[in-house]
Amino acid sequence: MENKTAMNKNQNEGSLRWITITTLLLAIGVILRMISPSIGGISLNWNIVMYCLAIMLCRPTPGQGLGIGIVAGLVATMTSKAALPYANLVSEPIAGYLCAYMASKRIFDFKLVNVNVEPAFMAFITTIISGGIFVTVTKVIINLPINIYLYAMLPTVGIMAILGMIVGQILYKPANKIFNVSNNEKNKNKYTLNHMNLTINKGSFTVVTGVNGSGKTTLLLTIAGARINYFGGIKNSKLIVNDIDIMHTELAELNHQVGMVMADYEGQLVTETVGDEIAFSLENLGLELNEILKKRSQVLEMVGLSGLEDRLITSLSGGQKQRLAIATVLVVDSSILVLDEPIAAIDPEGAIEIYSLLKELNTKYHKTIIVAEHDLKYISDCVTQLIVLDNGELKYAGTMDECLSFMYHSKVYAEAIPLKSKIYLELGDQKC
Amino acid sequence: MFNFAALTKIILALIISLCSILINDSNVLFGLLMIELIVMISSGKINKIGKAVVMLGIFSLLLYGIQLLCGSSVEISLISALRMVIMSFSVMLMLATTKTQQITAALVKQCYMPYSYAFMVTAVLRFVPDILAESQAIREVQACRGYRESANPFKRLMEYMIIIKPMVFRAIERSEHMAISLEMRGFSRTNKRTFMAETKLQGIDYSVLLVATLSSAMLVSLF
Amino acid sequence: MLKLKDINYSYNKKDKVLDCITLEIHEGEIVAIAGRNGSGKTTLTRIIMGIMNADNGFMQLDDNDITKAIPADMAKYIGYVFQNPDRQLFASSVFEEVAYAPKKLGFNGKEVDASVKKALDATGLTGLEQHSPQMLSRGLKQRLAIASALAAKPRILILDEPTTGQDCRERTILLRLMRKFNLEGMTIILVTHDMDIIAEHAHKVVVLEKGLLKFNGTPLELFSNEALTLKLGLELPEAVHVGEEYNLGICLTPRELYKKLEERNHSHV
Repeated sequence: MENKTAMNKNQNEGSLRWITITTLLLAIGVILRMISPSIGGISLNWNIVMYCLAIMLCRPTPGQGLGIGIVAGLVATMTSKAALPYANLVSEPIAGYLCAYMASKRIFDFKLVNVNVEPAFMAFITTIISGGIFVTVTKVIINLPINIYLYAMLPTVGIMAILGMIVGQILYKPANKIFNVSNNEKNKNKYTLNHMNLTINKGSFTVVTGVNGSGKTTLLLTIAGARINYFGGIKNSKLIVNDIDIMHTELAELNHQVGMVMADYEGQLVTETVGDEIAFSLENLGLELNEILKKRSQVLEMVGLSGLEDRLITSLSGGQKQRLAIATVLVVDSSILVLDEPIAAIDPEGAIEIYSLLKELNTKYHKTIIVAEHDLKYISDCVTQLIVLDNGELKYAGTMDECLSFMYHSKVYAEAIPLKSKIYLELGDQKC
Repeated sequence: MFNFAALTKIILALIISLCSILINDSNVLFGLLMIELIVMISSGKINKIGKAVVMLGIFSLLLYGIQLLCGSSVEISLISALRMVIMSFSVMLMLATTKTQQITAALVKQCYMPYSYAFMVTAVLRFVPDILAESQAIREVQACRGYRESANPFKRLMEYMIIIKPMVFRAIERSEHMAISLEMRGFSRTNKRTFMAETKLQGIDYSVLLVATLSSAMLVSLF
Repeated sequence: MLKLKDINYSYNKKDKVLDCITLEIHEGEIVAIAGRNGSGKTTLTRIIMGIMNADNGFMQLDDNDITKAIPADMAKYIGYVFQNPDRQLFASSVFEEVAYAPKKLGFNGKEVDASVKKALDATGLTGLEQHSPQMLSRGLKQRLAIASALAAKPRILILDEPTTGQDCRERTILLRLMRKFNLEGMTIILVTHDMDIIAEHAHKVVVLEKGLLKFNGTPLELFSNEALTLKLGLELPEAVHVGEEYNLGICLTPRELYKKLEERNHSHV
């Protein structure tokens, strides 16, 4: 029995969160720009406030700040209809670099009247720098008259900076609280699993159930080899899946053997089209083009999405997106497939399709399947082992009948017992 | 006809933009604009970008007007407006005829940009429709609870603030799952990464670039 | 009473989503709207709420013509709870979230406080006023969304698949709340895929298929006709399956099942 609390010494080392938070906040920036009212062809540049916020949340190196600025510049060039698209490619990288520099040195990290004013200063200065460079470059290249520059463009930058300052100040503190909730020690203990002794055999179909908050997601993430500093971790436990000792295997190896489809499967799909998404997993592994194409069409056929390579991901239905997420993990030949509440937001028809796909993957392709589920009526004909968790602990593991009987008699998440089984158990009781 | 490599199109856009900066003759600039419009129409993408083209056209006329009002000569105002329009059209054209994956592949393989950043560009564009749907959903919820859009633009701005907050919080929550998922998919592996999108420059790319560079050099030196 | 007559709606004037829908919803009823994915269920409720406008047709609430109403007009009569709690909560505190609707509808300070308190009590969220909505569990978020709709004191509540993604325990709580509100006089329009919920709680069920109204009657009328149920693309409630297996006749709900089982046991003894 061992602890697996931190296989990486430095919590944030190599963490990818700075990439994902910047991506999502910049996307918000693009939307806001689209829907904000524009004054005379110039709309507020929300991008700046958003990447400034991202930089303050994750405190990247100035080099990374420069990169973030380049991304912001490219995105702005590609999505804005402003007068001089190229100006963003100059203003944003410089502003990004300086913002990250200021954030890393915490130059403005002080309080004024008991309120930390760092966000206000950072947002203001970054906007002034970015906006100032932008309008100056525009003026020079397009040869605008000096009056417009001094009396219209610069003041606009000033107004934008003040607005940005307000937005940044209001958003930063609550955002920071949520961003760091996983680093908070108190919350960490809430999400830690304890005393979990579990063996999952090759080729089995295991279902994990329990109320929300009982630890299902944490268990699944641990098996899949997710980085511990995002969640609580697991103590005093012994987990064997497909003869792999989860507690003593390197995360990278687990990632290779285990493919996970998370509850938020939309967040897992990161490219534009179906084909690109599947190729993404293979490109990361360095496969050659022919291999990628071959494996891709194989796996699309397995999940029933053949021929949809050029479809935009945003145009897919919930069930199709699920199947695409499954395809992305199948394509790297993981022998273990882990799914977190796959049918939570899907209609009954779609649910039946997903489970028949999972059953096929289990019986025909011999994948070991582990699913976290509440709705137990869909799994009765494919499940080989049912596990119930409560409060971060494993309460019972066994065949479906055995486990349901345990849940019924010990009143652990008895609400999930399907009606048919409940009647059977009650009749059984009466007979005794 | 437009099957050039992404890099070629990027360089062409840059060349024509550079030309428009260096040339100070409004007639030549007008000629460049005509070339761009012809290319645009023959590319078949005019439906996609038609609206933006018109808007920019109107904006450039406005710019022309403002310049005149501020006392610049007709020639300078024309140059200003034409320059703006040529540059923005070149970018628009490049984007409309190139897939995003091709652009990022070109940036990484040929412009030596680190992959993380190129990835971020495509990922931002991918999430934009989803987040737009989220913002619309929140607007609907607010409407169902009695929100009426006010005529006062300042008040409207304040109302926008209310949407930003949940969107930002949701983004933060999602960033965690996304980070876990990327890592599990081998994103941070430092070994060589391949790209499906074709980026090699072929014969036709080199010839087109040569022609473009030579003619631009000629135009610039003449005017 | 809510009356709809000949409501039609199509996307881009081409694909018909709702085709001549006519129905009446009486006060105090729990009416379930069922149908396959894409049958038009959610579109119908969105049109009732004014989020979308029908192409033609007529809608009336009591004696008021609401055909062209906008959601802000409807807010004081109908509360709408959307499917995804993550896309419904936007305030900085639970209190602010619930107070949003009363404030927008012009309640004065005291009235706002009173209705917030009442809504939080009704949904079991008292004590969480200062918590941030984003940090709540999924079940509590959905209850908060319901409380926020209730605070405007509507007479009708539209629930769009309220149990999606909830665990079984929260599901039970939500349904119990729904029943409680209905007993207190609230009319409920429930869009759901879950036949067990319909069998157990709905007074009437309306089934849509490809935009057409294919059934309008009681759950018993629907589920006792297996052929019809399956033809409409629906499943039978679990209790019906189990009842068949044990030869107990048509049992819509677990309670009926238990009753019949008890009766049978007694008669054997």
